[in-house]
Amino acid sequence: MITFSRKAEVIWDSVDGRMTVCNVNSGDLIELSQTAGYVWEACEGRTADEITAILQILYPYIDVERLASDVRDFLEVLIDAALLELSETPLLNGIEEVKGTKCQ
Amino acid sequence: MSELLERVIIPLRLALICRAGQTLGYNPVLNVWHRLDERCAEALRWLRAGRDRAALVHYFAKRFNCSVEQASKEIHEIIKWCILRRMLYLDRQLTTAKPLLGTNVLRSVYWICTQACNLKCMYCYQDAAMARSNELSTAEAKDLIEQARELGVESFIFTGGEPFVRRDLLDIATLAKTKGMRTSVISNGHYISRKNIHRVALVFDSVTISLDHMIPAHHDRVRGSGSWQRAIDAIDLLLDAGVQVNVNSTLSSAGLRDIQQLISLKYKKRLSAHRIVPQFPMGRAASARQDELTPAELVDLSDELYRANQEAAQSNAFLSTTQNRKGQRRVHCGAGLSEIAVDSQGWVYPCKLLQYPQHRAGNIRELRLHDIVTKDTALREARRAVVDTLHPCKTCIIKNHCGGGCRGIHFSFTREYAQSSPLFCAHLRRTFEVQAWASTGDVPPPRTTQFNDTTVSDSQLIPISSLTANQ
Repeated sequence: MITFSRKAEVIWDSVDGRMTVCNVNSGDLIELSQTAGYVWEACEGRTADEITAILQILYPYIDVERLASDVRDFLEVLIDAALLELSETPLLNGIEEVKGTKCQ
Repeated sequence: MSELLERVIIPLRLALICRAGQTLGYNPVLNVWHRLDERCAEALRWLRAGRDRAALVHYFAKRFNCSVEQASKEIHEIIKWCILRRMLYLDRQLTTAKPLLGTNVLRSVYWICTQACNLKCMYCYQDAAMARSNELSTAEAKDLIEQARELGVESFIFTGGEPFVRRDLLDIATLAKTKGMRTSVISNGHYISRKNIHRVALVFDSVTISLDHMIPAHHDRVRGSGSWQRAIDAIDLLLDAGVQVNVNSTLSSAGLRDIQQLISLKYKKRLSAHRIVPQFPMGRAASARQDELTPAELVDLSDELYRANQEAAQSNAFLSTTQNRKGQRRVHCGAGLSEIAVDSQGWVYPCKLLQYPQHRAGNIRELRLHDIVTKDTALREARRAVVDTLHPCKTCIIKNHCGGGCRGIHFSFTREYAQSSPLFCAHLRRTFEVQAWASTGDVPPPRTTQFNDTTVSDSQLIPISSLTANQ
């Protein structure tokens, strides 16, 4: 299972109600929408399905498939922007071992 | 020294605005501001002054009486906080604030539907009294609405004179409404009665009533006997009918005496908006300069309004629109760009406050509105006057926030579209300051504005002849 974690060199905070993220290596500053902010906050060593499940609680009226697809797309954007790192988590006797690095 | 501290860059013209020992950081290029705590302000002051960065930690440890390790950790956190809030940059300057106005986004048409008015207010910018000869007919007015809709106009505002003097007002406004435009009217309220209130409520999305004072005698002195009561009656009728009601107030020096009661009106009556605009020398007000706010009153006005709002609402509801502009560049006031004005005879102007011959564009009796808006030189000139081209704005620290301010008001002082009034600019700067503070929680007490009497007696003056003789 692949889990998503925020990179150690990334700093972030809620600024005027919007999540603002900066990779200090590149110096790029990104302001996230409210929903993207929820995804960002959920990236603490969770899988895409787990993140989707969190969003499902926040947006119960949105189709799960669409939500899952949007989450996957956005995670790709965050990876391309060098904000997230992936971890491969092996399944041990059907129990997931979570290895995601939790930053800050 | 931490790597981040080495890499940070101070935003161009970063301002640290102080009030009562508190500091507001303002990045003028990106139009963002934040309230800074004492330590953050101190660090930014050090960096902005270009002092030795390696010495900052030791200065911090001494200044705030902590260990060097603690100071170093704290500075690291401050730098991160500032980077995320654009009070500091990493490696390079940022110049990417979003512009608030696009290049061609005509949204609103103000139609001065008649010059006639039942009142003769002492400061009427329109100098309204009698109807002009040959004002637009009902058919011509309806054609104007069709043309505005074709241009994608979203909001059609009827103003005057007194719009309700026109007997066909509701018919014309009905057409605008059925065409999908938001309809508004600016009125003194005299002709809004139980008889027509239901139709008014159906036709207009919002009605703006002019009300300058909460002391009836004060209002009636400038607007005419009985006008206060009729305005209040109209507001009540409209609110009962479920109409969105706004109030416009023109503030003279006398108005400051009952500003507290006037501001309470918004909260007592559930008004949607209350717009208070100082009296400026336009129209009839040009010959009533003695009633204007004094320079000191005008500059301090925003603080005064903030205090009055605080007392009236017991909340921080003061002009919250400023927060919405944060992070966006306002480069233009909107005259001729997001709005135009059409006068009662069909002449088009960039704005209702710029009805002067040099700003007159075409007439809708001769040309299509589309052609006037897209091709007329007067409108194109008005559109070109963005803050980066207006000479006085080029070096102003709040230019990306105020967008140059209302060009109509500037013009009333300077008689030049591209020139700015230093007094109005001082008012705008203070307004920005108060609104920015307010958006971060509260507004600390202001510095005292003191305009010293600089009258010089004749005996103190050096004769010009003696100066030239020395040269």
